[in-house]
Amino acid sequence: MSDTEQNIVEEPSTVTNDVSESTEAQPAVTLLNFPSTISVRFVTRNEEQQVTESAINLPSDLTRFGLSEIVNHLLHGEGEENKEKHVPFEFLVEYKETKKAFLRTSLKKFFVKTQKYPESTITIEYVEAQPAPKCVDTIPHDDWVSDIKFDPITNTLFTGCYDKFVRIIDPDSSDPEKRVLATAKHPRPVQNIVCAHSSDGLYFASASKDENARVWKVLKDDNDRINGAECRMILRGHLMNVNDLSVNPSANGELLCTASDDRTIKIWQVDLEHKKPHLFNQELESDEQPTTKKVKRTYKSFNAIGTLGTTSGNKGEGHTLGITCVTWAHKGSIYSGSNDHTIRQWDVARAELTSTISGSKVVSSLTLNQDLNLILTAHPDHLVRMWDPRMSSRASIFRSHKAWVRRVEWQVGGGHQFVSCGDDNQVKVWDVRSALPLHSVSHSSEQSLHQSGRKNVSPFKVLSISYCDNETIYSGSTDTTLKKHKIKN
Amino acid sequence: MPPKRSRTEESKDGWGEVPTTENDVIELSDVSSDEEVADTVDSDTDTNTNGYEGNDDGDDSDNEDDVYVSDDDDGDLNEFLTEEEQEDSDEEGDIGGLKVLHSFNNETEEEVKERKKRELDQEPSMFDDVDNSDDSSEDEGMINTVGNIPLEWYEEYDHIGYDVNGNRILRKKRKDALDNLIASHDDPNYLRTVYDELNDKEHILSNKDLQTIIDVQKGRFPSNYNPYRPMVEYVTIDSRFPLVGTPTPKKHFTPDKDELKHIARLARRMRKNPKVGVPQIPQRNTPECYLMWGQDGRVIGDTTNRVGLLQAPKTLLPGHGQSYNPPMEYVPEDSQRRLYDSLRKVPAYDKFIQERYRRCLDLYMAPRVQIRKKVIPDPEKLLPELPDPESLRPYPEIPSLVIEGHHHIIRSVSINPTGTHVVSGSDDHTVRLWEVDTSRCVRVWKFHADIQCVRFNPNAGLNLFAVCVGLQVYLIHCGDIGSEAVNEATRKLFPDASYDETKSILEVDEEEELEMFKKDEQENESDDESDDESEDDQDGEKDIQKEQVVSSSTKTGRKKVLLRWEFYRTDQHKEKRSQGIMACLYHLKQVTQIDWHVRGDYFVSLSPTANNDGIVIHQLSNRTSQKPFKKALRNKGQKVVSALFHPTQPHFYVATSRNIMVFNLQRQKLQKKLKGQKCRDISSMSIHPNGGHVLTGGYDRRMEWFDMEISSRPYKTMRFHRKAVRSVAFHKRYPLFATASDDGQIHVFHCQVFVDDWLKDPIIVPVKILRGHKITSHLGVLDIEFHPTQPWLISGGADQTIRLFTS
Repeated sequence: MSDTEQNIVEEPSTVTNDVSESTEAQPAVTLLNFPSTISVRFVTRNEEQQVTESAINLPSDLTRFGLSEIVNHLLHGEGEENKEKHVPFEFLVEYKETKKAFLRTSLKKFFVKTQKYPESTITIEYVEAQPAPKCVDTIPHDDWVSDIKFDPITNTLFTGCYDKFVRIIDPDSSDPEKRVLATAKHPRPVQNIVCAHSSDGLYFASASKDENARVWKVLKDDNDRINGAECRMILRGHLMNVNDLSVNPSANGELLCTASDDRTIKIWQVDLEHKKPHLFNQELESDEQPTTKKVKRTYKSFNAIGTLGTTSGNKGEGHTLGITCVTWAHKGSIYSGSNDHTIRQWDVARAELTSTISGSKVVSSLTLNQDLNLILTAHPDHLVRMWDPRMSSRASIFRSHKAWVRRVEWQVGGGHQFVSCGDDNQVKVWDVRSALPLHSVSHSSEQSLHQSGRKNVSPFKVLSISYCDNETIYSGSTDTTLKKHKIKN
Repeated sequence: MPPKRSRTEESKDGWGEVPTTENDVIELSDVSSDEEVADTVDSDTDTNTNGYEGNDDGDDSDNEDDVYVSDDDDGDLNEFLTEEEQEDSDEEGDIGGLKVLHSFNNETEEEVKERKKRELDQEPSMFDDVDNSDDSSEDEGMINTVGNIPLEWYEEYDHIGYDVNGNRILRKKRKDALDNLIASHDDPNYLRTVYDELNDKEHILSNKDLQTIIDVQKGRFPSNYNPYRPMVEYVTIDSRFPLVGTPTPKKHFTPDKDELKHIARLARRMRKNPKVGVPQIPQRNTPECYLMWGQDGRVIGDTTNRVGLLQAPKTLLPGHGQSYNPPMEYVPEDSQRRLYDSLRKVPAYDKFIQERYRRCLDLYMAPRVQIRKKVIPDPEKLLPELPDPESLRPYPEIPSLVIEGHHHIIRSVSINPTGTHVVSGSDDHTVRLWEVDTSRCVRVWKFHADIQCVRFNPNAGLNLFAVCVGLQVYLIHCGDIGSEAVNEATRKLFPDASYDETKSILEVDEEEELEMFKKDEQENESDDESDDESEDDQDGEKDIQKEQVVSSSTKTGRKKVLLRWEFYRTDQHKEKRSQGIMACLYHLKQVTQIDWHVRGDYFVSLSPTANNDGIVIHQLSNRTSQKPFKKALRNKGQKVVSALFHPTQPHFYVATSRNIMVFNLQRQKLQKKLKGQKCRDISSMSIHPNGGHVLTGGYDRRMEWFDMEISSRPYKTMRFHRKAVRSVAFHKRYPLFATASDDGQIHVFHCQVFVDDWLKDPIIVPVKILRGHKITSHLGVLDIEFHPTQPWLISGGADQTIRLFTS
């Protein structure tokens, strides 16, 4: 319960203060002294679904189902014929000034938990409930799907796979054979990819399980159809495995940063057409692998334009262990999560460490919501944590996964929702305002689990997830499939 | 002589019966004349003797009593007697008949009694009969039950009384004088007939009755009675036992002189100070109060001490009902037996539960055992002062990954120095390389035998691990992982070129070897047959080895090749080279363990079955091997279990099954010997990263912590596991260590070691039990290793899984 409470509350310390004050002023709110009816006013932002503004007296033990029924009755009137029009609603209850949380229990319990005594009319905002994600498409791969990125402009999907290929996939194509538009081979299993548009066109950068990242230009034919990918840049400089990449969202895709096990973040300038000679080595690499001889040598090895942190890993200078994830925020700052249990914020312009959030667990994935300025991190201890960079002392906890949480990702375009996936074969859709996930979906079907011979424990891990637009979620798993989940009808 | 007296009285009663018939006769005389009666009696005495006995039974004690009650009877009787007798009878009263008899014989009363007694003894049968009739109240002759009451009460009624069933007994019609007259003429028994008023009956006297009456009247003894029998004395005076059984009186007691003195002393002292020895009665100031619920002055409230003295009630002995051999009345009859066709179906003793319940209830309601509560002022104080495990985080606690893929027990796991990959060796003859965080199997190597041990080179600049398979130790470099620079450095160690083979052979002079072996044999004469067996094995293996050696190099001569390196080159062993197997070290005996030095250049291989050559230290860069010990380390049958390098100093730790020996490699001598206190069978050993502490785990479930600075005895011995400890491991960075056992559990401990403060003892706190491994064929967790950078733990178990526990 405390977790949930902590969860709802975004600023825990202030809230605890409030609680203590309120207890001094009036006795604690309990289930016994709570009134049986409370006055409620329904509001919504969707004007088409607006119901009466006047307050209604409702029994306090109503749950969201009951409230949903009431709103539906108010909207469509009573009667069996109107039942078809009924839509489930979610309810946001204000428990503090400007603070709202989704109702998951009865109203009574909610207020007891938040220790708010409803003296006057309560305003409840309702929004149409999101239906459960439905798997609409399965794209088979040759091996584990390690990463998924979606380019909304060209409507293409980039998937990294343990068979060392990055695939460019047209998700809307119905012909399974023509789905894969192009592939790009790497020396080792692909770990992470990122895609962006630069002035030279669409490109994607990939990190396989070695110390070099690669930048590939996506080639198009005359019909503006993607027909191939060409490696244009090899980013050399890291001493150890590159774990994550991120593109500067504001610099027109010109800047790229990579995070590595050697405790540094390196910043690279993307130059697909080799226009800036000072960035790359003039000599072509001679000791490349023999397979590349066949391919036209179009890549040059690039040097980093900047390095954050040192490989020595002394304290105060940067991460002391390998960096697992990195996110380029606006305003020229980079957030990085590491094996040394910290999340650090870097000032790119000055190449300095700005702030450090010390957690207690390894960070396996990190994502930043630009609008809310909140960081979500995934951890091996089955939890998703939410951090406010301004308040680094405490984190809110989202507890629902049963195994290592692999990835967490915010909704695109700033919203309250995020998705997470983990080793328990689950894809979960969350809302920040709710302690429990809105929806949980198994990636691998029952049948495939059954075929694996183990019913209890899922042998499959959902390694990657992508909340592409606000309608679809892609998830890639160790059952070698990529699945497309539709959220909205 | 009271008993005698009583007997005489009885006999008197017996005699007293005789007059009853007499009285009957007397009654009769009311009706008939005195003379007639006398005549009839006289006349009939001789003739009619048969009826005498028959009437005897009919006589009744009650009847006699009734007869006696009436006053008239006396008078009637007197008519039969002489004048002298009448006087006597008047004097004597009711039992005058007897007295008359006595006086008639001119004997004193006592004399008569004695005589009677003698007579009685002579003729027991007759008097027995009389006695019986005395006692029996249920005689056939008794009909009327009115009891001993004056009969005139019934004179007005038609009935004379009630029979046994309460019915009235109607009175017969009385005979009038005419009837009597007629009867006197017609009835021959008329004169013998007497009338019983109580029962309204007429009796006819037999001859015997008459004889008795006459005997009584004349004061004669009854016939067949000998009044002069010899007297039998019941108690003789000259009996041997003391007649008086009283204990010796106190005045016969002569006290001891010492005691007399002591008593005198006491008395003197008491005279001086009269208060000595007198218990002081405390003055009671408080008003006396009474326990309201007390009973008869007994206090029932104060039962605290008495409860303990209560004896438990004895259980009833098993009765007939529970007997296997019951008496006949308990044996069921055939009809009852037919109810059950089998003895099994006979129900149990029906009161069994009730009786047991009653007994249990009794024991419960009055408990006999006094339970003394141990007074513990503060239970918390009993616990050792240990910090809260919560405050000692991080430590491995969450089972995060289960890595599956092996098909047999996993004997060994090892993590690479960057902590990204795990290598595992199993009995399915394969070595697998896994990615830690995704549990992906990167590569599989197949070998010819069980994998005994796999160890990653701890040098982060190298990407190399060693595998013990049978007699070989393989050095494997996996190019699929690690950065280019590291792989390049590793490849440099094993250039793809020919090499000086002679350098890479460790030889021993065979003679010298033999001598050493003999010496060793002599020292270990007590060594058992198992060694002989192993020798046989050794011979067989030797042959094989020799062949190999001969084939590879011809230079052996008289020397015995202990160990040979073989480097694989692309031109000769393309397959192995492509798999990443870079080199192989052939041993003579099975290698069970290897350990790398921290810098990754030296490693030691351990073959416990080899006698002198069990421990060989190899140098990777020089490609040479050396034997640090000339003599066998084991003694008294203790095998070498583990051999480890000190992390910082040139020290070398060798653990036999009981001891740990620390050698200084530079000075080449034994530096210290650690002796286990209780642990007799060490299975594994681990050295603290600062080198000052050694941890051992034993097959006897114990785990011992040695502080090298304190003593050669263990600082702490702990036994938490339920089965043999298989593996112990220290964390390189965090103050953690863990033990793995065959009970499928891994125990994680926090261990704080104070390097700067020598006075402080290490703090060892158990923090977590990690479960998850299943016990398979009595084996649990076989090997554990901590993650080099994270507080994580990797374990390999007999359940064919590798598990990762994260913090």
